[in-house]
Amino acid sequence: MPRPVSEGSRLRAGVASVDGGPAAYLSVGSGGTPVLLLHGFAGDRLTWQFNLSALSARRRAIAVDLPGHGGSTPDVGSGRVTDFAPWLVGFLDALELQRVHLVGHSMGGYVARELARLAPERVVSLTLLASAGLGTPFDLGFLRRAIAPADVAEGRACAERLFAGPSPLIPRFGEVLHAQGADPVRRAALERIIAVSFDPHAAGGPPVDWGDYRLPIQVLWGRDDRIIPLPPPDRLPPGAPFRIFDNAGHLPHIEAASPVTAAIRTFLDGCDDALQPSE
Amino acid sequence: MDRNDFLLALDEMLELDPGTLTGVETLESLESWDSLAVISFIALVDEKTGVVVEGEKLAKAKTVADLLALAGAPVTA
Repeated sequence: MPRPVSEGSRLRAGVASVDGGPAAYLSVGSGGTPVLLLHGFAGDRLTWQFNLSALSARRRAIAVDLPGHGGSTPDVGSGRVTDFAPWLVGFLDALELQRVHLVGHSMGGYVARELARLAPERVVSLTLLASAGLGTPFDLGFLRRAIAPADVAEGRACAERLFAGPSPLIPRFGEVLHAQGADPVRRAALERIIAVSFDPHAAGGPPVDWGDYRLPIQVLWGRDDRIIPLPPPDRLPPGAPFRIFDNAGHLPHIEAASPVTAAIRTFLDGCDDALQPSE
Repeated sequence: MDRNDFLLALDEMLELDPGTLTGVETLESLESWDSLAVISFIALVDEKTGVVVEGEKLAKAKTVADLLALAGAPVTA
C-alpha cells in the first residue's frame, strides 16, 4: 500500500466501502463533472500517475483500483470483468458521484463500456484507451507471463513489450511486475480473470453493438501497441473520434502522456460544454 | 515560489525533515520517490505555479534539481 498522502495536498487517497469489497482510490481536485479512470489488467490506480493531476483542472479526477488489483478487494468473484460494473456503481454511490466521465485503459476500457451499458444515466462520456473488448485479437500469452514473471529479467521483458521503444520507466515496471507476481492471492485473482474473461476471446470476440451506447465516445490508441493491436475501422463506434499516437505502445497515457491527456481534456470539456445549455 | 520554498515543499511531500533536500540528490536514492510521489509532485507544481508538468519529461528526471527545473524554480541557489 502506498504511504498516506500528506495533508493539505490536492491529492487524496481513500478506501470506499462497497458491496463486494472495499475500493481503494486516489482523487485530485474538485467540482465539475468528475472523471473516473479505470486501469488495465495487472495495473492499478498509479498507472495514471502522469494524467490524474492534469485532468483535474476543471473537475475532480479519480482513479480507482479494480477488484483483484492494487489496494481494492482481492475478490474477483467469478472472474468475469463485466461483474466489475455493478461494483463500480456501488463505488459511485459511496463517493456520491451522480454522473462521471469514464476513461478506461485496456481491460478498464471493457469495464467502462459495461458500466456505461449498465448505468447509462451515470455516465456522461466514454474514452476508450487501447481498449479490450472491441472484438479484436490480443496477446494472451503476454498477459499470462506478465502476472508471474519467473525473475526480474522476465519482468523487464514484459515491461519492454508494453512500450513502443526505450523508456526510463521500463526497469522499474519490470521490478514491479516481478514483485507483484510473488503475491499468491493477487496472482490467483488475475489467473481467474484470464481463465474466465480473456481465454475465450483471445482470437477476437463478437463485435460491439454500438447502438446500445447513446453517449459521446472517443477511442485513443498507441500506433505500436503489441498487446491489443490497432482495431480495424469496422470495430469502432461509428463516427467517434479515433486518435492514434505515434511512438506509443500499449501505454499511450504514459508514453505519450501529454498529448493523450490533452486529448482527454479537450474531449471532456467539449462534452461538458455541449451539455451546458440544458443543465 | 523560490527554490528554497520548493525544496521545503518537496521535503514535506516526501515526508523528509525540513531542509533535507538540497537539489543534488538523485531520485533513485529517495525511497519515497514513487508513483504516488509523481502524482503529488504534478499536483504540487500545478497548485503552486499553475504549470502542468509533462509526464514524458518527468519520467526522464534523475535528480531533485531536474524536478526544480520542471517546476520552473531556479535550479541553483
